[in-house]
Amino acid sequence: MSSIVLMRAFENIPGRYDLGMRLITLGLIDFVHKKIAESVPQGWDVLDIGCGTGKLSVLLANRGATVTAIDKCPRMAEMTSARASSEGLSKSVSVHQKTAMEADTSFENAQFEAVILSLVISELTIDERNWVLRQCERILKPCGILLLADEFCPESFIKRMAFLVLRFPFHLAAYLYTQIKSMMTSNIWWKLYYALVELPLMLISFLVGAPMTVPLEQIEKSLPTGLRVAEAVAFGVGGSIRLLKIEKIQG
Amino acid sequence: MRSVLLDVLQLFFRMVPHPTRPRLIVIGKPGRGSPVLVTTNSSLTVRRLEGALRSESLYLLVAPAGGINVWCGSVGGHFTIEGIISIIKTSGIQQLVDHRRLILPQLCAPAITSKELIKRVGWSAQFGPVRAADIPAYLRNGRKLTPAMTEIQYSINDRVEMSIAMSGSIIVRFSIFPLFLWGIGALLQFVAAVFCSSILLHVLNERIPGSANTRKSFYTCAVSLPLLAPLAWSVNPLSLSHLLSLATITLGASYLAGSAYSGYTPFKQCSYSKQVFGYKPLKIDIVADDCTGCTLCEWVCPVNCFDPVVLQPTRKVFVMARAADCVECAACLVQCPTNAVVDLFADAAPGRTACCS
Repeated sequence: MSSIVLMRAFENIPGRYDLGMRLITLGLIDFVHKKIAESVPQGWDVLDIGCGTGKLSVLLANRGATVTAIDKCPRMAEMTSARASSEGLSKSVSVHQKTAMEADTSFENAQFEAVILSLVISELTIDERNWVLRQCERILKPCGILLLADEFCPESFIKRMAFLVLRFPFHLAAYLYTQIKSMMTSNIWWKLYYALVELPLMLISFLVGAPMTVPLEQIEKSLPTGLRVAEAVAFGVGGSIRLLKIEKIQG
Repeated sequence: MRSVLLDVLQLFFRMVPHPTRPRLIVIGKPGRGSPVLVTTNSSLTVRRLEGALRSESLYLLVAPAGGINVWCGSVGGHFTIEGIISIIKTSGIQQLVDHRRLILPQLCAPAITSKELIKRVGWSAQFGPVRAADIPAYLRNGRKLTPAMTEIQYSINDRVEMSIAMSGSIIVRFSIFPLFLWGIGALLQFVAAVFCSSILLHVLNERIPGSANTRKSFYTCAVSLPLLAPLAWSVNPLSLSHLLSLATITLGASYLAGSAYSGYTPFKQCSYSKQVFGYKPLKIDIVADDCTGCTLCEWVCPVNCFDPVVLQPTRKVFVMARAADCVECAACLVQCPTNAVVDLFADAAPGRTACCS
């Protein structure tokens, strides 16, 4: 849902990641997490790809699921395991520093009842996305579900442009905020100076690494044959953030 | 035409990322034993590599790295092992070749180790030359590096190129100030002064007296002022007040060039990254007891900091011989197989006391 540059800014300071994520999803991320947790029954084996600071993993473990959490950023993985052990859940949350691209060698066929891709898909390139979706199909048990939460935009050109124009100020504000926040200097005058001097460059960087929002229809088309969208839940005004419940077709 | 336009654009806006699609590029007619090279998805890097490798037959993997070049990307955390894993999996290269060996650009040594690549994806890696132009010779010599291939060079062409890139970044950042304070004429003077002092500073840097670049910039200001005065004269009649404002602008532009200089050369660590983004300074040394003399640190060091020392007839170790040249890229620290390379600024591990040099 955000540019690579933006993710870097978050990931450099994982403590600010939660705040940044809330900012960029306009506070909706907590509702999405709650909805995901409600979809996962007790006792399920769950894979959380891109666990971030581990809020969702811990939420799921608290509700009785066995969670395998992976994140490509080592510090994020550390934060997830710290959060899990602080809540006494280190047994039911196992954390690995891995990318989604290592799913083929890390997980068995039909190992999980649920796979979660929360705000991950739009970080991937098209090739990576198709690859990850195929892997999800492989590692899901029959009748298992893939929970895919992300920001989607309409596919028709005019609607998409209108959507991007509406979303642009929010993305830009979140980007600039995190860029300035991630500066290590604590002197407020230096911060102001850098913000002023760097603003033109930040704007250019933002436009170059434009926020990658995936059209919903594109995801539905790129699903492998064994997966099917069962339900789509929309959040927020205009429903730009959606949770797709994708089923693995039996047989 | 498009490529020329991109060249100009990317020369002037060098400081922002220039992403291109991560993909597999097939160059020539490679077979099942052909070399597999890796680079980042910076559009400029990819175009230059394609130009340098035009007559070769090989596979080039363009790994996702946010459109940042190899050197900045690997030190800044954009060009990572995850990017390489991703491109290996999605490009289908595993079906195209029989071997499992990558050739990496040497300047990605701060981020990527062969050991971890083998562990995580089953491909081994060796470091190729620093410059793309050396790759054909490297491949012809049976993938043998010469010492010259492993060192950064800063040729006159590179110096002019980087001085223009640096001017671009200064102009984009700061031209708003002269424009608002004194108007369009001052802006033009500022642009000319930035170009003039940047080129002088980059081309003549080693010959200008002093050690700090901001100090050196005063000398470049003194040289560029007489060069710019006739230019200003042709626009305005040269009165004392005009001359004074020109001097102020030139001084400011030179100072900015001096303070930006370190980030635009391959020899200095960018002070900006330390101030703004909190990159920790490094002080590299080698623990002689742990050194096995494997030469890896000497190969990956882009500025040739290390020298071999023969302790006993059968035992050779490496020492930090030219600490002043160190660019703090941490390639040696990351690559050393026995952890003999240490950072003296980091908390010293217990038991490590005997540091040589």
